[in-house]
Amino acid sequence: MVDRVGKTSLMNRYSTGKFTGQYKATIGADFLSKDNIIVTDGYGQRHLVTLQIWDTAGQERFQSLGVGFYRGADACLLVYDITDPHSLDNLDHWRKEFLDQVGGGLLGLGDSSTVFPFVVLGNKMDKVCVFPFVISSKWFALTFLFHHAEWSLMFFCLFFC
Amino acid sequence: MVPREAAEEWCRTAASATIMGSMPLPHFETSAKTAESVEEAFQEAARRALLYEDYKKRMQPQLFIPPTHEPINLRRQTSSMSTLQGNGCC
Repeated sequence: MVDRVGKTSLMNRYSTGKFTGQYKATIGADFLSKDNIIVTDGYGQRHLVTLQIWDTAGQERFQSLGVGFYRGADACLLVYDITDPHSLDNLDHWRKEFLDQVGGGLLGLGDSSTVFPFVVLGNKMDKVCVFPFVISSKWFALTFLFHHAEWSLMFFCLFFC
Repeated sequence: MVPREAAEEWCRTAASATIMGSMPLPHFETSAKTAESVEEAFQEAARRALLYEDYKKRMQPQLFIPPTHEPINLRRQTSSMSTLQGNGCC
């Protein structure tokens, strides 16, 4: 949840199904809700729920306005940008900040006892270029080709069919 | 570019510092632009929120009511008091 990782875009995509490539920093927090979500619980029972999604500010100068909205949350989505390694490193900070506000731990045991539901999202998968993968796996593919001819045939079918 | 392994490693370490131990945080590679895995990620968050709510309910301290085999006799006390008075200590 550093700035510009795409939190607002994710929320908009999920609740309205739309995507605008524009950037506008979130000031404080913003929220949208999505009705009639079917969720299966731990006992295999299906529930009809309404999700209230709070989109918090990522920019440092607006962060202090957003933290107050953490309290009362039932789950937290941590978002990083796949094209920015720094945003993944920052997740630690965001997770701590969140737990400080929410206090997910059991009474007297602190945050180490937390089972608070976090979900980690690596956003901007559309920007991933497949070429680095192809180049790095070239050596592997070549050795594979020579050693397991029949397997490699299946492999090629998977990739090119 | 952040490799998938690095993100999954973070998910493991973040969970290992807590009671969850070897259960890594759920990880999704999404795209708001193409809608890839967005639905799944939010669905998983909602599912876990329900599980967490249930867990919290179960972890709440319950009021302990001891089993009562014998009914408590309230009169016994007064009767012993009356015998004490009957002895006439004063």
